[in-house]
Amino acid sequence: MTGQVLDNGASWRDATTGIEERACFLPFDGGAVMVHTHRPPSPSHLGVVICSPTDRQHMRNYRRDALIGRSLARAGIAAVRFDYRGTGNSDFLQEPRSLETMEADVMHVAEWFEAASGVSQLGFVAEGLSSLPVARVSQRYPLGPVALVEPVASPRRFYRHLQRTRLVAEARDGGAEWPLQRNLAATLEVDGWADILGYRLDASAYRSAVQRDLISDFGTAERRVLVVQLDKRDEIREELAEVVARLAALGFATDSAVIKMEHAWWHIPDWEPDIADEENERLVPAVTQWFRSVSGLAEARSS
Amino acid sequence: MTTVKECLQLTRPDGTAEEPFWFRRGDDVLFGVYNSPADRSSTAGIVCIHNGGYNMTAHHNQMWTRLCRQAAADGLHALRFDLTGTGDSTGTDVRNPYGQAADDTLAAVEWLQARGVERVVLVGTCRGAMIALGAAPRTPGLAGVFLCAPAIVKLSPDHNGLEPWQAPTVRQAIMDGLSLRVARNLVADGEYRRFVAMRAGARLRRVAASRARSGRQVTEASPRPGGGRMYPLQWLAQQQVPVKVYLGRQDAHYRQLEEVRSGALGRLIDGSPSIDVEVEDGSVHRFINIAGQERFLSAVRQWALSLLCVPQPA
Repeated sequence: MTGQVLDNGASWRDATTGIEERACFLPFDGGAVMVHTHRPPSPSHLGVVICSPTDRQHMRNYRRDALIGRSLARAGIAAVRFDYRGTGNSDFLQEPRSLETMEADVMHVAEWFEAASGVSQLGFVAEGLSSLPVARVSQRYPLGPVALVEPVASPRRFYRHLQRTRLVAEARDGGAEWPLQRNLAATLEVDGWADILGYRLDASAYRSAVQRDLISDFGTAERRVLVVQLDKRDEIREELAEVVARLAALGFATDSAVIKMEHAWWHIPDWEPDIADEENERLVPAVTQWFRSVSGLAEARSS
Repeated sequence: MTTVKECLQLTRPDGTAEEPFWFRRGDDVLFGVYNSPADRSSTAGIVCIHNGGYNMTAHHNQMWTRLCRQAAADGLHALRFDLTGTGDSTGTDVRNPYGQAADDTLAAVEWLQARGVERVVLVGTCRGAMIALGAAPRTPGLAGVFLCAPAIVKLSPDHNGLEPWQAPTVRQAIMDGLSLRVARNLVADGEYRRFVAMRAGARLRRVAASRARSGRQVTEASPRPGGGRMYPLQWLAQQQVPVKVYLGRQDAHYRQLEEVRSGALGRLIDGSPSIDVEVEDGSVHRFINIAGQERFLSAVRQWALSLLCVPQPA
């Protein structure tokens, strides 16, 4: 036996490390958000809110985020993960899911976690599109560390990329259901929404998102930032290098990490993550180590 | 500061409830979400099995979440869970549909039975369909098995269950490469070119690994599910357990079905009144459009309700 102790099925605890993992619903705005907490046995000064990416990328990264949560708890850092409303096991959303609803979800979970876990400092892991809502919410937690994993610097570029992928899938798979070769903006204009590889994108959410910019959303409150690139190349990509440079120019203490690995083709529908284990082995400790290194710094500064 | 209080069980206005939970399977703890009907005395349920790998309890675009909530509203118990080493469960995913993953499924069924469920329908997608098959002969109270996009060649009585993957033929690879659509994308999209190069490299590595293995003598056959010599689909046909095979016309699995139709598998499927094949237009396997997802969920719902004798919705 590996020493996992079930607590009436609602949570489990590792008998060796004392780490407890629990899943529950967090009521919010007439619905509920599914959250998973990872608690180390000793009180934690730092708590980290792990904000997953969206849609197909959410599914692709789900296991990885669970492993990050467990790894942080092993390092003595409390962590929480959640599904945005309208995704995963959270409740359906009556209104279109957008960066604004995502931001409200991050805020809600962060406030609850801060109170429920008793941590004195909150940090964030943000992946993909989550980087934008996290950039805004983290302003409320000065000095908090923020790790951006493959962040979306420009939603406009992100959606353009998704549209290209959609057309590739359309071209390859055919099928009568695909609207023929209309670009994303035109599809949204005509239909009010678009089907992006099995996930809904509403026109209002798109229009609001493409006005946004990661660096502008960061504001000015002091935080420490890690930008992580996952790619085959050794050098940081131009897009992320610009993010690092602009954050540094604004006075943020900014670190960057290039984790060399096969490109994550999360947006390709039949991509099989043969590299997932390799990616987890490199990314999870890298993120954990960074939070460990900055948590002592944050503790010293806040005291 | 917020005063929100978390809850372990969510009760909805229609009387159905939803709760996340952990259950034990061997040395690992697995994560699941349970939807219970308003009428707790109901004895019928469904268990949803995803395809492992990087999948999660909710499946693509909340498919399992939607299916289970609807099933509970229809009067069924419903459970979705993460296989060992996937999603929120602990352990390592060994990707063997007839071993550990089938045991995971049986543990989930057992958990549901402890809540009074006596008849159960297993629903699996892709590898989850094979896992459902692997678990089926050992599932007490089995009312039916819904196989969405199963790997058809592995359903065949001819298949020895030892080597699930076969390298594509050179002819097939060339035909794929000659597709006008593929060529157009290769020219137009650098990202697609890199993707194709990556896939080609991965295939070459797998071919090399397969050839390296081919020199070895296999001395011990994989244990057959059910403990007998019969392949699961044969067993289900003999027991007259209803089986639905759900495929997309655009999927490779459908082409495989057409190719093997005249063989033993075709005879088994066509000759068994309890096995029904439903073919959808377009692609089913990867759930890459919402309309296809809706059709799949509707097909599962109607089929499960018909088997479990719950009055069907108008």
